[in-house]
Amino acid sequence: MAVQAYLDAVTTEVISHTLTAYTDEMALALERAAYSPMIRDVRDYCAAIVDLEGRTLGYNTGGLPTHYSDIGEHILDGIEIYGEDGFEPGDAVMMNHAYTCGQHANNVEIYTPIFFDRQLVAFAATRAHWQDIGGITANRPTYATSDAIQEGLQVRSVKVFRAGKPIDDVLRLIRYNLRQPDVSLGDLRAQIAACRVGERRFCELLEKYSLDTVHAATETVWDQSEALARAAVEEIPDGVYEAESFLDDDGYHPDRIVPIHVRVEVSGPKMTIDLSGMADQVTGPINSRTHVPALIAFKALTTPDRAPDVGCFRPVTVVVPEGKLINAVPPAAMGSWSWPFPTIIDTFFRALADVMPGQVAAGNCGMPYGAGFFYGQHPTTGRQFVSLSLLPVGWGGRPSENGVTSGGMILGYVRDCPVEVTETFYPLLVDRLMVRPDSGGAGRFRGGLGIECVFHCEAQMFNNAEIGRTKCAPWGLFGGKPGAVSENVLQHPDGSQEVIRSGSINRLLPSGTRLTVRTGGGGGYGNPSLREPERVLEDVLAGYVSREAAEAEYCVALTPDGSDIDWDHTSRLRRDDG
Amino acid sequence: MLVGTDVGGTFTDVAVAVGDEIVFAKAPTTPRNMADGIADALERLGMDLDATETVFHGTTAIINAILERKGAKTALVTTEGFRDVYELGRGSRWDPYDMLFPKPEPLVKRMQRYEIRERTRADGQVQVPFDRHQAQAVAREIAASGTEAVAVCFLHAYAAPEHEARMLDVLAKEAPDVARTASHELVREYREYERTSTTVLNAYVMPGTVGYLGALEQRLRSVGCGGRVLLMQSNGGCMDVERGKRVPLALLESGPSSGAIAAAELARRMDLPRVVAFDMGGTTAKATLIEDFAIRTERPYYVGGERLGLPSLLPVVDLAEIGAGGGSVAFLDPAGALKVGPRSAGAVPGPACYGAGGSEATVTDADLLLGRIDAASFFGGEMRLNVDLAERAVGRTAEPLGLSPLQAAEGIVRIVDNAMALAVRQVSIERGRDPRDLTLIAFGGAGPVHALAVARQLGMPRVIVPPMAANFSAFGMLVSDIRHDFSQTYVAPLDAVDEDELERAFSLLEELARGALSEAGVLSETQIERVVEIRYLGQEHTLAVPAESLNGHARELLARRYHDKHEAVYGFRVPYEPMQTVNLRITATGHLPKPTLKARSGSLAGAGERVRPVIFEESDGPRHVPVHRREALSAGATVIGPALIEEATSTTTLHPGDRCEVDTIGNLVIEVG
Repeated sequence: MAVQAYLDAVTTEVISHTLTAYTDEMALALERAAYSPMIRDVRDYCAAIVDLEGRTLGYNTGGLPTHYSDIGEHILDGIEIYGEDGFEPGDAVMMNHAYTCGQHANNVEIYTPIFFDRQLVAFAATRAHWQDIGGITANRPTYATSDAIQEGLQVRSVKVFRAGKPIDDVLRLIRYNLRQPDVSLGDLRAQIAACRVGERRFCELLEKYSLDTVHAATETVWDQSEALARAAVEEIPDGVYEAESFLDDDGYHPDRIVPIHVRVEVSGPKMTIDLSGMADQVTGPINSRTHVPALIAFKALTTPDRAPDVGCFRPVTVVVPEGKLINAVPPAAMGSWSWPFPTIIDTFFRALADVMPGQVAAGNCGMPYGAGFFYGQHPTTGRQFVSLSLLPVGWGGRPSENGVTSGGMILGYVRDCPVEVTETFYPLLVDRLMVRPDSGGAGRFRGGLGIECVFHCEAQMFNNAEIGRTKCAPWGLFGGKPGAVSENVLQHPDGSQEVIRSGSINRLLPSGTRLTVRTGGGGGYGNPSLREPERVLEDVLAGYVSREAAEAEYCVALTPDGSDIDWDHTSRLRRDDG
Repeated sequence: MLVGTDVGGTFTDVAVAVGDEIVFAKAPTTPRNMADGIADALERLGMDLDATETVFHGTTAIINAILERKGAKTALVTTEGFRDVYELGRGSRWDPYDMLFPKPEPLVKRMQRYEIRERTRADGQVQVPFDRHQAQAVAREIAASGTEAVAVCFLHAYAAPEHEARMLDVLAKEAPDVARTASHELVREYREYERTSTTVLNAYVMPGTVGYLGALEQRLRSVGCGGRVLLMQSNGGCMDVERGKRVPLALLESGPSSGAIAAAELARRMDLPRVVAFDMGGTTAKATLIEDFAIRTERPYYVGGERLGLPSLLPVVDLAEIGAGGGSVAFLDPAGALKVGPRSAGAVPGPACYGAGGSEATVTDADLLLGRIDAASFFGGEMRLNVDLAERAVGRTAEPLGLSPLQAAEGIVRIVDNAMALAVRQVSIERGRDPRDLTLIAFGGAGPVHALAVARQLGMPRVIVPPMAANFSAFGMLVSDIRHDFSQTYVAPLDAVDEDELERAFSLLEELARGALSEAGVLSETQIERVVEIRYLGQEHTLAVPAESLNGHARELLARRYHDKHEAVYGFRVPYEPMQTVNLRITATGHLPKPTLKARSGSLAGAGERVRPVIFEESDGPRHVPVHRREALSAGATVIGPALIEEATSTTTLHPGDRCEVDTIGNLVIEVG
C-alpha cells in the first residue's frame, strides 16, 4: 500500500508536469510558425493531448479558456465519422463545423492521431483562430451575418493529410475558398507541425510510463482538482442566487436588447448554473452552442490558480435549454460567438457577490474591441491590409484595491498592438493614446479606467465597429457607481462629428477621417464616500478623476488652487451625504 | 593578476587568478556599502593585490533596487499624447481565470510623466517639429520637482533619434543635476511600451549605480587593488565603468551571465561545440544552451518575472530558470499532491538539517537522508548537518501519504530531478536540439549532486563537473570578454533590400560598437558579428540570419540562409513566400587575456578509503559506495559509479554504471551509464 501510494504521488507529479511541458512545446511550435496575428500576437489558440474519450490529458499553459472545455468533444465527432480504426499514423483532421463545435468557423481545430505500438492511444490537437476562413467578410463582426453558412467554409471532421501526405484535392478546395490562402494555409501547416511535436512527445512519455500509468496519474490529478473545487463550493453558503443584465443589441437589430439571466444554486459541494432565463437565440451572429462562459466563471471562483483539467469542472452542472442564445440550433449565426461571454461571466459574479464579497470584483467593461478594426488596400504596397487593435478596457474595483486600468479581455491573455507597429504597417497615424479620465466607476475602490485612442486614416479604408456595453454600464458593487460606457466617434474630413453605433460595418472611410475610440471603465467597489480623501486628491492630481467628479461622486472638495483637500467643505459634503 | 568580485544577496565572492592558480574566498555581503564586503573577502585571501591588471565586478544590487523599489525618483518625457503608454502596457494579463489579477506597478506615476510637442513618423520623417521652447519649460519643471533621473522616449525614435537627442541637450542645460537617458541610446527597435519601460528602468537605477560604482572604485583602490574595472553584463560579456554608469540596466543579470561565460570558455578549451550549462544553487536552477562557444541572448526580459514584471529590451543570456534548488521546500498542496518549490528555506533558517530552526523538508534534507551528501563534510566540514532533523522534517511532510521518510526523500529528489530535466529540455529539445548530442556542464552547489540523474533522464551521454564547481560562476568573470550588442529596426521587403543601404545601416551600428569598445580600452583583437532578423511576410516571429560575406548577393544569400534556418527550426520552408527584414543586430566582442588552468597533481592514495551507505532506488535499499576526496584524484584517475566525489562545497553523485575520468585540468568527465 505504502509503496503504491509512494509511486503514485511522485509519478503523478512527474507525469502531470511533463504533459504540461509537452503541450507548451506544441504551443511554442504553433505560435512561432503561425501567420495570423490572432495566433501569434493575440494568442487565440490552444494545444492539447486528448484521450480517446475526448478528455484533455494535457493542456498548454495560458491557453485561452474559450478553447479549453470542449476541444476533445469535437474529436469524438471525427471518431464517429472515421471509426476508431479509421486513422493511420500521419493523418491530420480539420474541424470547424459551427453546429458541432458551437463556435465561429474561424476557430479551426487540427488534430492528429497518436499511435504507440501500432495502437491508437490519443490525439494531439490544436485549435487556432484563423484570420480568414472565407465567407461574407474577412472577420466576423456583429451585424455581418445571419446564418453560419455566410460565415465561411464549414469543414466537419475532414482529413487534410493521410499517412503523412497532404490530400491535395481537399487542400485545393480549401485554398480557393479563402481570401488570404497563404496566411490561412500557413496556419494550417503550423498547427500540423505542433501536433507532430505532441505525437512524438506523448510517445516518449509512453516509452517511460505505460498508458495505464499515464491515465492513472491524470485521473489522480483530476481527483485532486475536483476535491479543491468541491471544497471551494462548500465554502459558499447553500442557496439560490440570481442576477440579471442585458446585451445592448442582438447583432442585427440595433435597438433590441438581449436579456441575460443567471441562476446559481449551491448545495453542499455542488453547484448548478442555470441559464434558462437568458434570451432565445437571436438573428445576429452572437449565438453559440457551448457551456464555456459558465465553466470559465465557475473556475474563476473555485480553482483560479490551478491549471484547467477535467476535475476542476466536475462539481458544476450547467443547464441551458436547446434554442437559447448559447445553445443555439441551425440556422443560427455564430460569427461573434463569444461576444456575450464577458457579460454572462460578469453576471454570474454579480449573482454571487453578496455571499463571496472578498472574491468578486465589480463589473467589467466587456469586450475590448470598439471600432479599431480597419482594412483595405495599402496605398504604397498595393497589398490588402487588415489592422485589428484590441483596445484595453477598465476592470471593476476589487475588494481591497482599485480596478485595473487597461486590462485585457475577460476571456484570457490577449495583447494590444503597439502604435509603432500599427503605423509601420498600416496607413494609420495614431494622434493619441491615453487613459480616459472619469471613466472608472466611483467607489471606495475605484473602477479601472478605459482608454481613449484616436486613429487618423491616411488613406481610404473600410471600418468595422463592434461596440458593446454602451447601454448596460459596467455595474458597481456594494454602493460603488457604474463605470463609463464605451463611445466611438467619427470625425469626417470636413470636421463634422458622428457617434457610431453597433451595426456600423464595412463602412468606407475617406482619407483624412479620424476615429476616436473610448473604451469603458470598470464599476466601483464600495461606497465612494468611504474612499480616503487623500486618495481622491491623488486621483485628481494625476488626472484620473476630475475635480467636479471628486466633489459630486466622492464628496471631496478641493482648495481653490486644486492642490489640497478642503477639509471643512469635505466633511460637510460627506455629512450631508449621510 | 585578475580579480573577480561578485556581490550576491547573502554572500560576496571573490576569485583571483595569478598565473595558472585560481583561488576563491567568500564574505558576508554588506548591504550598506557593498564594497566593504568585497574588501573583507579580498582580505581573507591575504594576497598582495598590487599587481592587479583587471577587476571584474558582478552584482545583484541593480536588480534588487528594482525589485525592492529602491531606485531614484524618476520622471518620464514622452511624445505629446502618449505619456500613458507606460501605464497602459500591452493591455494583457497572464492568468486567464484570475479575475482579481494585479498589474505591474509602474515606476513613474502619471504626475511625473511629461509630454513634449513633437512627432516623428514610422519612416523617420518629422510630422511635428520638436518644440524647444516647451521642452525647456518641461525641463525646468523637472529640475524644480526634486526629480533625480529622467527617461526620454519618443515615438519612432528608433528610426530617427534627433528629437530625443535634442531633448537630452535641453535637459543637460536646464536640469544638469538630473541623471538622464533616452531610448535611442539603449535600443533602436519598435514597440513603444517595451522601449519606454527599458528607458525608465535604466533611468531608475542610474543615480544609485553611479554612486555605487564610485564607491566601489574608491574602496578597491583603498585595499590596494589597482587596475581597470570591468562590469559583468547580462549579455554574456563585460563593459567599462563609464558605460556602466550610462547603461546600468545592462548589469541586471550578471550572475547567470558569468555562469554562461564560464561554461562557454570551458567548452572552448575542451572543444565541445554543443553543451548545456546547468547551474543549480539554493533557490533556483538555470539551464543555458551554448553552441559553438557562443552565448545566446533573448529579449524582452521581464524584470520580476513574466507575469508581473517590467519589460527590458536589453539582451539577457537566454536561459530557462526554475524555482527549485537545494533549499526548495517540499510540501503537500491542499489537494494532497507532493510538490517541491518554488518557495525556498533560504540561507536562514535554511534546510531543517542545518539545525538553525528550519522545520520544513527541503531538497538538501532529502539528499542527506539518501546519503548523497555527507553530514560531516558539508561545506568543507565547517557546518555539521543534523540527519535526525532532516528525517523528522521529511517524515512529517510525507506522513499523510503513508510514506516512510526514505521513500519520501527519494520522491522529493525524483520530483526535483524531473523539474531540472524539464528546464534542460526547454533549452535543448524545445529548441530542436537532440540531448543525445549535448554535454551537460554541471555547477553550483547542488548541480553536481543532481546532474547525473538529469542527464540520464534526457539521454545525455556526458556530464562535466568543473573544478571548484560551486564557484564556477566566479571563474566566468575571469575569462569574460567585453561585449556590446546594438540593434536597429529595419523593416523592408527582402527582395527589395538595397545592399549598399544595408551596409550603411550596419556601418552605423558598428561605429557605435567600435566607440563602445575603444572606451573600454580595447582596440586590437575585436570581432563583430552581423545578423539580420527576417520573417516570412505576415509572420510575427523572426529568425536571426548571419549577414556576413554578402559580397553583392545580399538578397539571394539572406533568403537562402533564412529558408534553411526556418526549415531547421520549424521543419518546413515556403520557397514562394515573400520575406521581410525586421531588425539588424550586431554583437561586438573585444577579447581579453585569459588565465590558464593548472594541470592537476594528486594521487589516488587516500581516495576511496571511506565507504558510505547511499540510496539510489529506495526499493533496493542502501548500497555501500566509496567516497572519494576530489582533491586526491589526479589526472587520469578513473572512478566507477556508484560512488561519491566530495569537495569542500559540493558533491558529485555517480549512479551505478556512470564512469568518471579526471582530465588534465581537474574536470570530472563522466560518461553516463
